[in-house]
Amino acid sequence: MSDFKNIDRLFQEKLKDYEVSPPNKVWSGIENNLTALPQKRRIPIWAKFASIAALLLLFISIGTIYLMPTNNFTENLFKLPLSAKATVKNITDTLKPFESATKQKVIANKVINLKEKQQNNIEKPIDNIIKVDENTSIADNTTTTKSLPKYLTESKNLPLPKKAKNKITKSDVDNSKFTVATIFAPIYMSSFGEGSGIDSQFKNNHSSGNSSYSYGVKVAYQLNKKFTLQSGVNLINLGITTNNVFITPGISAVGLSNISSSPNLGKSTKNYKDELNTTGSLNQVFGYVEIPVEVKYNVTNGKFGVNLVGGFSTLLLNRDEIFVETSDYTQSLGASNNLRSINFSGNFGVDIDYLIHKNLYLNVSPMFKVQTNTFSKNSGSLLPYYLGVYTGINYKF
Amino acid sequence: MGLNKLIKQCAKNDRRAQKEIYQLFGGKLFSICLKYSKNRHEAEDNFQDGFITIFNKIDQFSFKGSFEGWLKRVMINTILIKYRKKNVLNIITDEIPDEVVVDVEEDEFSLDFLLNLINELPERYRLVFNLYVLDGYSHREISEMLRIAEGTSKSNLARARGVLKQKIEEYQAGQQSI
Repeated sequence: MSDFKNIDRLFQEKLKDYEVSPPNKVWSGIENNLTALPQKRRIPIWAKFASIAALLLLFISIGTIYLMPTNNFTENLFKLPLSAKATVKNITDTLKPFESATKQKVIANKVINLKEKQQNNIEKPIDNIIKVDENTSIADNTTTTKSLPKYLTESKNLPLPKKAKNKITKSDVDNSKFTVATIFAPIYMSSFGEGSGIDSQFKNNHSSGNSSYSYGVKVAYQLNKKFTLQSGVNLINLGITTNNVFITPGISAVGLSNISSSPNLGKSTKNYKDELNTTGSLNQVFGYVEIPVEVKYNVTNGKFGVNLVGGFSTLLLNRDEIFVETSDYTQSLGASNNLRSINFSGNFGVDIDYLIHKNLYLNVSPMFKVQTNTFSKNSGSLLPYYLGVYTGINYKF
Repeated sequence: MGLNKLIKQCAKNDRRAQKEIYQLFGGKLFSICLKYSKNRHEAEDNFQDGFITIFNKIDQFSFKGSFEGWLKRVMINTILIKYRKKNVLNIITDEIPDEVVVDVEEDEFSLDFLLNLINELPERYRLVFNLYVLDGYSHREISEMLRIAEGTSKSNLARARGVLKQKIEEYQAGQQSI
């Protein structure tokens, strides 16, 4: 049967349901090409959380094992005015290389304190102290360089499942998702509410915060374009001064409810027995190992980046000391017993970074941190907070 | 597994899901390649490249509209991009009427014969004929896809029809003379 047909129709009808299965070899070609491509979404969410949890665990264990105070440390330090050199040496021996780098900075700082005290109280040859200073600074240099690689290798051996670990390393070398940074921050401390951390009898005394500093390391992981998760370990020293305290020197000091012991009072009275009934201040000094967990939100990008930061910190008490201070002398009263060994702070701030080089940038981050449950009892409505300008050198890898 | 879930798995580069998509739609997409390409070898090349593009872009699929339609578009675009890279000379032709008719008998031509005719068309004619006649794109769409003028698309189509008609008639004449 012959028929005139539109040529389009002829092809359309014949090819309408045309379907041919492709040869098998083509799939293997596709498969090979797909493996060669950079994977777009490669880290499963559980692996991210697992790695974060593992990091935190690592930091907390480092913090608790190495950085928590050994009793010798504080005791030795304030067994005045014994040979300071011997004390420092003693500590260097007992501490392991990792934390000694950080602790010795604290020691060096305290040695300077000692220096001042000694000038006030007892005439002592100064070369002794200078020797100590040299000692600490040398030790400082060597241990920092040594301990850093050790720390880095540790972080590589995270207890992640093998598969997840491989994926992370592969993709993150490409995209520079991890950042490590050194952090230094001057800290200004103050507090909301009235009261004193030392005794409820000072509730109405004016108290003020002391300026100090904090330093440590930071590790950050970029979750996506906008959000970065950061953590780290910082050492921080804080102090609150309770002013206008009436001081009567004597063998038995006034029983202050939150001070556990006053070991040196009896010995040292001769230094100030000529002073009678002066007013001074009680200086409560405490230090923490701070483990922050913060989320950074990127607002603007470019050479200058602006970010908002929010999060919280776990603070582990590692220093606790109360001093009496008058215009003439400073005397340790011992440790306070109402500081909680673990407390938390809420952190807010901004973070401005400046790119120096492809993988290297500086950042300045003014942060506001409010502490919760610092004191366990007898402190009035005192709620300490501190302001710090955290500066650091960041390396992305 | 539902299709949407399968697509999401593919976006995560899950090899098993990718293979399943391949098996579900491979036949339809391969036939497109056979129609748009010069020969089977080129069709296989195009098919492989098209599927790689599909899996790389599958996370861009918005779950609006037909997934199969999306697959076809990506496949066709992959092929067109390849051919667009080659410079095809613009041939200006005389106007040929839209309606091209041939005198054929029912089931006179096998599918393979017709497919072969398409394959033998010059590159541009083949693409325009496929896009307009077999896949229902308008001349405006074709002009955008191939980066040519609408008029060029129209004249290419007319030329393609002319060539096909001529070949069919030649074939018929050959059959009769035997």
